[in-house]
Amino acid sequence: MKKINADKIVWLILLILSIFLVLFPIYIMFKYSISDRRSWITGGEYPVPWWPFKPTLEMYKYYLGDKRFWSNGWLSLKIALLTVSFSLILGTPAAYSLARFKFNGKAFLLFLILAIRFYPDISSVIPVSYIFNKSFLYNLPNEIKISLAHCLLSLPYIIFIAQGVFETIPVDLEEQALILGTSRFYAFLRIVLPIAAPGLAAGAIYSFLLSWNEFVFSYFITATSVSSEVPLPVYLKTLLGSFSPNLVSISTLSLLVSIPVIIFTFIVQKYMIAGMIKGAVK
Amino acid sequence: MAELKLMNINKRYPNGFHAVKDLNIYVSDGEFLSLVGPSGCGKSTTLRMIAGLEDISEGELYIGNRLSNDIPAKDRGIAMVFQSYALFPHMTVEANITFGLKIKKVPEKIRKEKLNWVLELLDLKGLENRKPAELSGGQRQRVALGRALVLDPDVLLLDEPLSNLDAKLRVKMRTELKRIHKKLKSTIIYVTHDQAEAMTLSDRIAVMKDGKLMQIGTPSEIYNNPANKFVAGFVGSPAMNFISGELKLIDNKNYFVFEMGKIELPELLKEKIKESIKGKDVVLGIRPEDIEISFEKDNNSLTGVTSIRETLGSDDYVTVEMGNILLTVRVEPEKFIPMDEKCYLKLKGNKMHLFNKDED
Amino acid sequence: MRKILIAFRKNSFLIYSLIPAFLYIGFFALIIGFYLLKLSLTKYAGGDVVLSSTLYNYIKIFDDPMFNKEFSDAFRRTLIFVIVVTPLQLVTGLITAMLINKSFAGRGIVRSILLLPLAIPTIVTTSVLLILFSKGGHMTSLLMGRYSFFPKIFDYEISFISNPYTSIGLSIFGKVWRDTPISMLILLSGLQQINEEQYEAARTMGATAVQNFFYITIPLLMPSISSVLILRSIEAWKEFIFPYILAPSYPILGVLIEKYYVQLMDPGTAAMVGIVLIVCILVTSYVLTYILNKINRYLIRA
Repeated sequence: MKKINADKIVWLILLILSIFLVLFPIYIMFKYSISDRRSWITGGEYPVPWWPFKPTLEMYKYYLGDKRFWSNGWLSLKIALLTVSFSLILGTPAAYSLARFKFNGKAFLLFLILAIRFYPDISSVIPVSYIFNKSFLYNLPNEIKISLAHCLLSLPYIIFIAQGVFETIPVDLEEQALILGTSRFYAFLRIVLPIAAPGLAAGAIYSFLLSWNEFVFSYFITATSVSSEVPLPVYLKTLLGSFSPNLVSISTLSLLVSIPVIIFTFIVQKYMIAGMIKGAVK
Repeated sequence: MAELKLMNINKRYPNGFHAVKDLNIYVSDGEFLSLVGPSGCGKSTTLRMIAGLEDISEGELYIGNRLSNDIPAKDRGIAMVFQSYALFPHMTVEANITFGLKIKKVPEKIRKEKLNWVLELLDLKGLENRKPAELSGGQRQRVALGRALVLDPDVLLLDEPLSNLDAKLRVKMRTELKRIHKKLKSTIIYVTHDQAEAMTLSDRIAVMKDGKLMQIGTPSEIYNNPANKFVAGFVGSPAMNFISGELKLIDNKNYFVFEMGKIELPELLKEKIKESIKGKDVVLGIRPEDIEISFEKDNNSLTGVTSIRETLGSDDYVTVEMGNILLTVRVEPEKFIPMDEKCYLKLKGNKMHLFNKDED
Repeated sequence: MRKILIAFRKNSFLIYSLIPAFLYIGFFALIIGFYLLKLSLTKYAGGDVVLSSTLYNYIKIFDDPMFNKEFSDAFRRTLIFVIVVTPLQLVTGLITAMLINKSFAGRGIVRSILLLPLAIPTIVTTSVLLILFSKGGHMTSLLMGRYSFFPKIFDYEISFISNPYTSIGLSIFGKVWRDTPISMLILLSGLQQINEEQYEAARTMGATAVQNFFYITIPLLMPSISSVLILRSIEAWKEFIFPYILAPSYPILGVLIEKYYVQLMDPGTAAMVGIVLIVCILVTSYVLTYILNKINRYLIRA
């Protein structure tokens, strides 16, 4: 028999515990979402069961057949994709220059990027929503307004991750391209970006998740909007805030909001980790 | 092809570091010039200034009679091979080689011709569609070279192109480079820290130290008449032996005197002696192959004790101890030399060098 | 003049690439800062401006006994929240990072699972915790011993949300649960840069696993640990959503902002609390950086 290794056992126990702690709330959410009425309204006569007495997909049928759910989901998706695009377009060139050039005031610029993260969201949302809702920007569609606001949150991350990624790409490659006759812009576009793409993917993924999950800015910006479409987290909050919340309804919607990003995470986790590691090599 | 002129070139970095000082080099059309020196001597900076990757702080750079200080890299008519090869990892060999031509909007037909010519020249046939990651070190090196050669550069700049190869491949690529230079007759500036590489490849060598040009000349000039102690010590392997001492005039003859003895200096060094005699402290230099070892006393020889023998195959080297001074002496491989024995060293008169001690 | 033009053309790429992002961030950073400052210096009553350019909102902290109590309670809760959450996230992040820094079958799946809290929207996390800890929910039933596998701990049903300690505790749990993957990723990137050979070298000199951890892992991980502590403490000060949902009756400063801005229509007080938070964040970051530098220097010497 193999010698039992104490380290291994501790490792395994901790691993199982971590996985349990992560999955347990998700399981509870799932369990409630398929609960029949008797399984969550117990009247104190018996404890809530760990598995519903009569599993039902009633609520799923309701939401998946609900136009409001789909239009809100579509809005959320548009906002997330726009946030990714805006922050990549604004962030990568800036990150590239920060990685490549030495110039006066670089430290100040880096501080400025960080500084915006010092504002509590709940404070900065006041002027930000004011700008978007009370100025000429008012007529912009909600998805543009919200994604521009989300950009403020995701840009610092994108810039920091992308800067790290660019720093791992040898300068030789661009210098060679310059000698071979390209402009700086061409070298950036055709040589640097393709090599940096997998690392930048991490930045894009974080922006996407951030935007998909963001509540405060979405809530305040849509609060005064005439449009009835709201991003999914805000939609979920309206359910939570109701007088007698229907737990099945909440957990079904919660799960529906989470499933796309859960699947997404499983697909892209490799990039998330690789990007983070590149971003940290400095 | 073109000539290259560096006139009073200086490089100062914003932090005040003076990387290259008053550099004057003329490279004639078709010449193979090596820039050698220890790391940090400014040789790479010089190359990067010629390439247009670094600004020139002061001085003038002429490429083929054209003042090129402010001409962007791509319009200088140069091509460069980087130490890291800088192959574009996401492009095939073909795309890498023809990249520069494509940028310059050379028609497809000519591109193909040039590609085939280079593939042929560098023995890369059949690798066109591979990515750099799928190539061996030597192949990558040749692709990098090919990418530069297809552009028909006026001046080809090579930045330590062989240093990432293993020893055996390096020697092979050395011959290859020489063959290509002979065939294309291109002007080549070659940066290396390996003096042996520079010696075997170049028409002329420029030795640099601390941003200054120490000496420029043909390999044999550099080897046989080093301008100063630094050049003497840098070129040649194993390195030249140095003995510190002073000059003395005894019986109207010039002697080099040091703690372990004295040596009469030949007539040949007369001029040098006149120059050096002012600063009394001098250094005597002698290469390992210019010392004869014997076990019979001879006049005008030095006494020492044999201690270690190293075999390099074609040559053997014996270390001889003279007090604290260690001298390396070349001996024939088949010759028997007893170790830990008293021996006598005779220095070849016409191969002795005298250097001022203060200057490097 | 010509020189400037040449310099500009040479650096035009640098300038064009930096301007959009920094103009955008800079514009909002300045506007937010200016606006908050201005609001915090304005006195509101019943949703209308009563007095501008006044320190009233700040003085109120000390002069108005009602507000003083509310503010200092919120401040105390926030401080506890920060002090517990920050190191806790470091520990959970370090444990999970070390767990998956080993290679084993199924590592990809485990990594994805451990990243999940980051992917799930905060509002979802809060709602699940709300369900799990609600009256008549699983947790109260569990603690009352109503499931056969768990001993009875309480006779009565505890209401997690309306108890000052458990509600903040629940917020802390939620925050740590959600943000551990971020700490994990930062620390994992640090761990992956430690060469396995260093451990092996130490082992040949007789170091145990525990010694390896304290003498090699921790010192080499200091840069990652520093960034986790600083970034996480900033986020902890700023926290809003978890206590907003899970501890509505026991507000921390972030929740106080929402209360004054939305419910009481007093943006002046709300902005003032925001400014106080920013000052706290700046002070914490500065002090933490100072302490971490000290520790780092000590570790290098030791």
